[in-house]
Amino acid sequence: MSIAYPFTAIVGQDDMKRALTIAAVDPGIGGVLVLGERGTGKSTTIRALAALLPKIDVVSGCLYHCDPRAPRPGLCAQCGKPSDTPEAKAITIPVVDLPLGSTEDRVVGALDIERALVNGEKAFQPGLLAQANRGFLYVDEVNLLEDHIVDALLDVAASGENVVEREGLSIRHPAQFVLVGSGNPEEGELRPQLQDRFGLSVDVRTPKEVATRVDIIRLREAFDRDRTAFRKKWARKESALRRKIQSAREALEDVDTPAALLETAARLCLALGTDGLRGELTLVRSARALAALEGKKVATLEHLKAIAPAVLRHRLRRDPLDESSADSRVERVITDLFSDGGD
Amino acid sequence: MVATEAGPFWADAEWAAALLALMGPEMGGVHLRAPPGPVRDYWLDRYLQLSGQERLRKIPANIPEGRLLGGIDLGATLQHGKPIAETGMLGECDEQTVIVAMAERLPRNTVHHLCTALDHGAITVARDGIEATTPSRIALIACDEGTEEECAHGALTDRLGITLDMTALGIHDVDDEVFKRAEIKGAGNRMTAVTLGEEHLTALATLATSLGIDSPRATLAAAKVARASAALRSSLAVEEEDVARALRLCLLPKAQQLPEMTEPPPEPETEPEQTEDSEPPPMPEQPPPDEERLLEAALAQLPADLLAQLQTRSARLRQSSTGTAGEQHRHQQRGRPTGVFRGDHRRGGRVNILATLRAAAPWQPLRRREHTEHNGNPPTSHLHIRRDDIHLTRFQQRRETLTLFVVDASGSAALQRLAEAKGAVELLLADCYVRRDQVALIAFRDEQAELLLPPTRSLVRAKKALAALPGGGATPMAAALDLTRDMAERAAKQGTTMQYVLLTDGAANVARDGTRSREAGTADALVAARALARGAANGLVIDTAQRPQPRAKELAKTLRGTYLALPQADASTLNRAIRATTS
Repeated sequence: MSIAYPFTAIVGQDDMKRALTIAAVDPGIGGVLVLGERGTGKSTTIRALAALLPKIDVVSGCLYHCDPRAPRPGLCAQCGKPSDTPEAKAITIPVVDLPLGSTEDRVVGALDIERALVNGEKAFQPGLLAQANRGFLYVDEVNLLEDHIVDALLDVAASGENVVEREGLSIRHPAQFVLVGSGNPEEGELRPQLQDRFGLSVDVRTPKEVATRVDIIRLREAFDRDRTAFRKKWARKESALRRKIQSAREALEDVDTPAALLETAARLCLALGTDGLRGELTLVRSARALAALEGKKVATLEHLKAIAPAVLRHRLRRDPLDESSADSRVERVITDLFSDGGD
Repeated sequence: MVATEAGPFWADAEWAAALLALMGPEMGGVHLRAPPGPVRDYWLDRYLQLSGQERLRKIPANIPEGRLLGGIDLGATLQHGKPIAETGMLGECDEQTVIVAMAERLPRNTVHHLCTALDHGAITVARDGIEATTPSRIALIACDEGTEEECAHGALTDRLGITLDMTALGIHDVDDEVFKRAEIKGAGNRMTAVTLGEEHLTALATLATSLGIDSPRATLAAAKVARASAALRSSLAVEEEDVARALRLCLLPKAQQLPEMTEPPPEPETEPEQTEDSEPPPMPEQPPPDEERLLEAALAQLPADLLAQLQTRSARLRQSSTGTAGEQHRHQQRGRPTGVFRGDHRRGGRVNILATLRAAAPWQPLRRREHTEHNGNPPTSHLHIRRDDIHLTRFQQRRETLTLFVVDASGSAALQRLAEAKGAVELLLADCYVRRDQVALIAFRDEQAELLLPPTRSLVRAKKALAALPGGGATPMAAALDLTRDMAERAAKQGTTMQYVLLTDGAANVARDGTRSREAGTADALVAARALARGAANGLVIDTAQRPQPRAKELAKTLRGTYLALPQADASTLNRAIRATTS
């Protein structure tokens, strides 16, 4: 595999980087959608994240990366057996690519045809969803994904479990992953059901300042000339950020969420008219993850404000004739809410 | 070394070939706008000579996804009785330069896979029981024969460092050879040592900004090309000449706008604030190269007609940068595969090998035994496949629908009508993900009818295209109907069902030849209407006149379309009417 560009060497694009690190801290947030024009570094940044993720413990030899310390019911059929004492192994959190043109059998898994033909065995060959369990599933150009693949994804992303009933197989296995999608909105809209599955959504734009552009080109060119040396140069920053994510993951449970913050989140969602509770939950979880990332013990209003656009921008009711962008609507409501003594 | 006086443009083509030979996958490739012919062939030959590659593998525009990425090898699988993977073309062409013909017709998925290979030098395959990451470091020559409306997809061209437009070149323009293979090799060794000064990098970034190029990929390619150009000149430092060449090859052809040459060049950095108590900032030793001068020099080296094209294109590029041809092509013959089902292949349909094998697999031991019992000897073939194992691929049955708005933008009420049409287009698009419809818009006024919004499903794109619509002038009805017929024929070829919505008061007053006369205009309009009526497209004529007149009704009758008088239609009534009538 080619050497990835270092995450910390990406110039600007702070929203995208923050959303991705937050998702790495708390996988329960529900994925990140990155929309933007060409050449904004969407795909580079997401692939860079893979090289940055900390390690997790998995059951050795388990195809689904089951957690050896997790309660049995949530595990795959093999690890869920009461007699086993699982042997643990540390692996880097997996980032699995779901390329366009993938067929359903490789996404959800299917009968292992080689073993069936050669040995006459009925065995399950896990698909990409199995590999992505407890990790990330990345779909580049998510708006071009075939409908029947999207359908499979939607169901699994909601339930955290992949149920395969085909070719005489009856398998269910855990499939909890952080869904990361990127795309260019000019090439078509995303189905609203799919858009809903993403916890955070960011809009990326190309920087307009010449100085920033020069920085981007300079770094990228240096990287292209000698990838190994470039990575080495950034190794210190990379491992610093990796440690930060790791400790934030560990500290996450201890971050306090004041009741007032929950109320503010609810009021914010109410004022924007977002449907359902998911917006509020994600808002609070993201604020906590951000606090954990900053090494704070309490999630504050500042954290909430910082993350609100990413959480809410894609949850607003669509009004095709409203020219104002989702961002400005979120911002307007935030200012309204907090200017008249809302805090 | 380079004869810039004689045939400067061919010199650029020669340089492009040398640069590609030198840099290969490092710069992505060349977007070659040229019709097929001797000039293009000659250039490709030159490239082969300079690169030392024996031949160029060609990726046809209609290559199936399985062949491009790799999948199951049917012959070997059946022979060995177990699934055997086959490397796709992208994997086979690792470390090579490949050529793709008719890049403007590439389906969107093919574009995506090429982009992945260009970005990562590898492709990930997850299909037909096979899962692999295959190295695929390619350089791509994308031959684009497209016209203004149809051009290679922006995602692809963005990744190709050099754009070479040879549409205007004839065989007489072909000039002497400048480089030899040995020089390319020598330059390769020098490449890493070449220095690119800060001022030159800033110059390239500033130029890209002033030309309205958003994607940093173009500037990155320009920086690399400048470096390679210095190496080819046997120099160890990038000089102005190299920057100018990078500008011509990488930036100018991607320009979205031409900067005003009379104004001073845009100042990139904010002026350093001069405060009394601090020292004045140290002056750079050499003044930064004057970007405007560079640009002027580069423009002067382009053929005059190309420059004119660039100017007219700049406005249009914005909307056509997402080339639409491929997207529609994807659906045309076979629709999208949506699953497999057990069926009889003799009734037509495409056999899905993998599903068939899966269905047959569990029965193999049994059938082998059965065969032995029946015939007394063990079977000779590995696989026993019976008719009811056969699985076929199901393709999406539903046809694409395109709704084309043809809007009369003439006269005084034009602006209002355009606003309504715009609203209706957006409303239709807003629920397009339910209906999966495409929308397009033609506006006609004064002398001509113009396709303002090519078929699209993207709200973002539609909004951009509709942002500024001119109005006023005469009514070239015939031209509008002719263009509508063009669109209908194109849609029919792509297997799309088209319906059009004509918003007009029916008062035609421009004839086909451009003369202004009510009679000739009306007569021509009726002729055009009859021709359009012969096609398969369904029409809806909305009379927007304050007091509905018989002429629009007459037109609707000739078009064999539905007539609707809606003098005060707003966007949502319009949308309701359209959906009620056409669906």
